[in-house]
Amino acid sequence: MKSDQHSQTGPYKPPAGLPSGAGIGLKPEHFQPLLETRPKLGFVEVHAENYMVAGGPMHHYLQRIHEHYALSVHGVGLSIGGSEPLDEAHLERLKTLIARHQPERFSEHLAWSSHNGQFMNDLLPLPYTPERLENVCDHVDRVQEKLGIQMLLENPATYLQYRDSSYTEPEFIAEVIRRTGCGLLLDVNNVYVSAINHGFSSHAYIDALPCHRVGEIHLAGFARDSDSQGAPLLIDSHDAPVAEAVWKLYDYALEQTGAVATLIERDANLPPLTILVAEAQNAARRLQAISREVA
Amino acid sequence: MSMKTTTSTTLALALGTAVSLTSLPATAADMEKCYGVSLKGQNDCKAGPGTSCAGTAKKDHQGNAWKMVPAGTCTEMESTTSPTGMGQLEAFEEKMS
Amino acid sequence: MDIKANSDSRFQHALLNPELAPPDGVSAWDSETGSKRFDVYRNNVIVSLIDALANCFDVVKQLVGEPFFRAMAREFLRDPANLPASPVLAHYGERFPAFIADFEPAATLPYLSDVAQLEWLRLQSLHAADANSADSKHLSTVVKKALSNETGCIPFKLFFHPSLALFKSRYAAVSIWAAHQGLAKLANIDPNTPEQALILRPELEVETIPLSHESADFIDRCMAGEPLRNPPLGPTLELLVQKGAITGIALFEEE
Repeated sequence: MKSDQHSQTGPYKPPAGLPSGAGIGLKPEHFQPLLETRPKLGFVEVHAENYMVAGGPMHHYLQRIHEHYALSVHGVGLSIGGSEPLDEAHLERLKTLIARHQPERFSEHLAWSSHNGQFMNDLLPLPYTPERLENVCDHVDRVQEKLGIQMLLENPATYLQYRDSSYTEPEFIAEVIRRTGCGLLLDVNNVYVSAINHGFSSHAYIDALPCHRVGEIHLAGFARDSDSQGAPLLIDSHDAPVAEAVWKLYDYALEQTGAVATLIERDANLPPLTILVAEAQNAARRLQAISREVA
Repeated sequence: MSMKTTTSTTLALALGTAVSLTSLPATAADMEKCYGVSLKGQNDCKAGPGTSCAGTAKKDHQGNAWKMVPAGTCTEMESTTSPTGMGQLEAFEEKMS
Repeated sequence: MDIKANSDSRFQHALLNPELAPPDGVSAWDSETGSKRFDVYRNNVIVSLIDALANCFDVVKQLVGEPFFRAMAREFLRDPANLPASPVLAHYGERFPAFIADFEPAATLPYLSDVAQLEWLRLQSLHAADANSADSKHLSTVVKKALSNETGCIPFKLFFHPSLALFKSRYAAVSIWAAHQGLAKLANIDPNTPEQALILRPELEVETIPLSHESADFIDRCMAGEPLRNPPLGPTLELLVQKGAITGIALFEEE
């Protein structure tokens, strides 16, 4: 079963699509072990910007690994959520990368990271206003037009909100999806982190999203902190195993989305490959359970 | 003219037997292995570990307030000079074998 | 005035200036002033970029120690001009060696900037375009033809692999770098000895090959596209061929 069946309604078709299994974020530290042991995985995902180089080992290994695994390319630097027009040079680099590796998926974030010619290397929050909605829709349209494929947009983890937001986050995301025909990358950890940070219901948040348009799910670990009032503040640190509460929320999300390709994201405190594969197997078991339920 | 002939012959021979390593300094052969470039993706989508690190500190390290001194491996070099003026590559060739 | 752009501009301005309060318009549900929450973003920007520099300039970090390195990188990042201009961080850090050269607290290590430059060149070589090296027999044939011409040597020009870079230092920066790869002992190095190296990635691994001053000058002239007549350095040319550094050769044929 292909998860993309859910989201084929816009003007742009998704690429081949990921199998609805569980995958892991691919890091150079795992290039060799992955090729040597070839664990059973639904797919691997890479950050687009790390492969926006001319040649060398990054492309060499990605190509070899893609021969054995489906590939998802996940952008972290397009600044789709910004008020400025997209950086066309960066979009061109992305097009080159997509053409070179022909991934089964492309996704980006509802966030901004560049402004006034400076890249801040973080996923920054945006106000959910009608003006910004137009900016974001223009940007998603431009990406899909340039790449000629449908993209997925990921819900962010945030620590602050804008007072002049007139849409809730799920409303804003639903509207972008409705207007552009893009799909949704549902980051369940981000939902959990933001729900705690902003005091909303994570279930209500998921219920308000167009879950039939989810083409991929992300799971990751967070870090705990507290704000200056002593309220819990969760940080989307990607440096730990998926928390139990996030697994529970994942089960809830799967009831809404059906079995959808699911990624274990780990960007820091990188464990051995086997540990990540075991986490992916945990997700795969839950995916199989939901498939049986549906059948 | 004879100078030129010699050069030509040497060069032709050199290129004709280009697989030979004999003309390379030994140190080059040892140093050419893969060392030192960490193959790491620089772009992540994670957040940092907390709220009280470098990004939030104010001007505590600026200007004259800077009191730090380099305190890494550089301290291992201080007492050394090379009285012979010989190249350093020879010096570490001895230590490598 | 563009209100939409101003929201991001205000956010960015506060983000990069820790002495400022969080920007107007952001808030937290629990009526927290937002300062600590905003600090999460401030922290992410600076720490992630310091980490990126630490990954690229690992030997510099070892030389000065991690606390000094991170503090130095933070000073570098205080200048907004030193933030990345592009999201591709594999090419971030070009300005760091020059910053180190002028960074007074590191003045006791005059070679530090050159070591940084070597590390930068190696990282760029790692990610440079792939190319096929020229066949050594073909090169040999063409060079023989050039040199055995009856009316004198036909000038020729070499084309180099995209990953090739030439590194020259007034200091023993190559040896100092090599010592951090377990290839030498720092105690045996006189930092004031000039050194040169060829940096090259013919396949997947970056090589750093020490060169004599003469070899470096020869390669420098080749790279500048200077037509070669009677190349005086057979061994250097052999080294280039043997390492796969040459991708092509062109003769300047007479009309």
